[in-house]
Amino acid sequence: MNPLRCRKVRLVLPGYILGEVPLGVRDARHLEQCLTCQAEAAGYRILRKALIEYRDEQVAAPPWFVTRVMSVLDRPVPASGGRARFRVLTAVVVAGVAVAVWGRRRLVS
Amino acid sequence: MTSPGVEGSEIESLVDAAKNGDVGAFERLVEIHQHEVFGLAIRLVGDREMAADVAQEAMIRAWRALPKFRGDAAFSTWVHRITVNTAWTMRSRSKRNVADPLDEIGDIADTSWLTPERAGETAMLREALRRALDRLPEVHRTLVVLKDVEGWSHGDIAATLGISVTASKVRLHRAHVRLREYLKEEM
Repeated sequence: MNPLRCRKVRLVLPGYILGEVPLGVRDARHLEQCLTCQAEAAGYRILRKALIEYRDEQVAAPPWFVTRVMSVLDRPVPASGGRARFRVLTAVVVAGVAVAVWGRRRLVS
Repeated sequence: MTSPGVEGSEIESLVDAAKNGDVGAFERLVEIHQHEVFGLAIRLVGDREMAADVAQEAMIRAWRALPKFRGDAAFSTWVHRITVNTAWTMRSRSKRNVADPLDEIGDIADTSWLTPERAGETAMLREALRRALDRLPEVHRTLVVLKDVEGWSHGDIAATLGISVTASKVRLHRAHVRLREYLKEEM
């Protein structure tokens, strides 16, 4: 057993077993021979299996979920509300100016 | 992150209609995505009740932000990102502990194809992993769920959580080391 190699292999084991990082030739050879590192690897293989089982589990939302969400949304479109308010405000200002101009012209004439 | 049984073009039409204020179209989007959003939420927060709150809040945020949705990513990807951010916010706000793990297995889909031995082993592994995940710091749990369970890239995780890709990789490594230890203890 080479303690330095053990340390190096244990650093890359999670990434190797969980599928991201390839194992170098020397590290692979060490893993074949070192029982301590093999035990460590076995732990990560169990973790990988558990993660796969966990990933494959189908989870269903509660039956009332859609109704509850929609009951909160039962109102005008919130995001376009700001624009709508701006448009209404603009229309009111324009109408006010138009009425003022029209009234002034009427007074002048 | 596609929705099985639903055409992408149907989703696009529904999104367009919902952006124009069609509540019915948005309701259909909620119906289509409810299970995956709730599934992501429960994996992130570990508690069924809180997951329902997170998923609901995520849908509400999605509705409010819809006019800003440009369609650069798929709608489901966009909603998943909102769910992650919502879970992050709500979980850090809440001091509640995780519910009894037995509560979490109520809505598991059909497992009749499994042999009793296999089903028992699977259930035992899942329960042990749940308990191990519950012991992880929030950021580590989020990384494991997003990378190992949901299959996100480090780039997407980094962008969503506001960290660098390197930080995402380093933290995931630490999460794996811890999770292996916790899983060993929980089995």
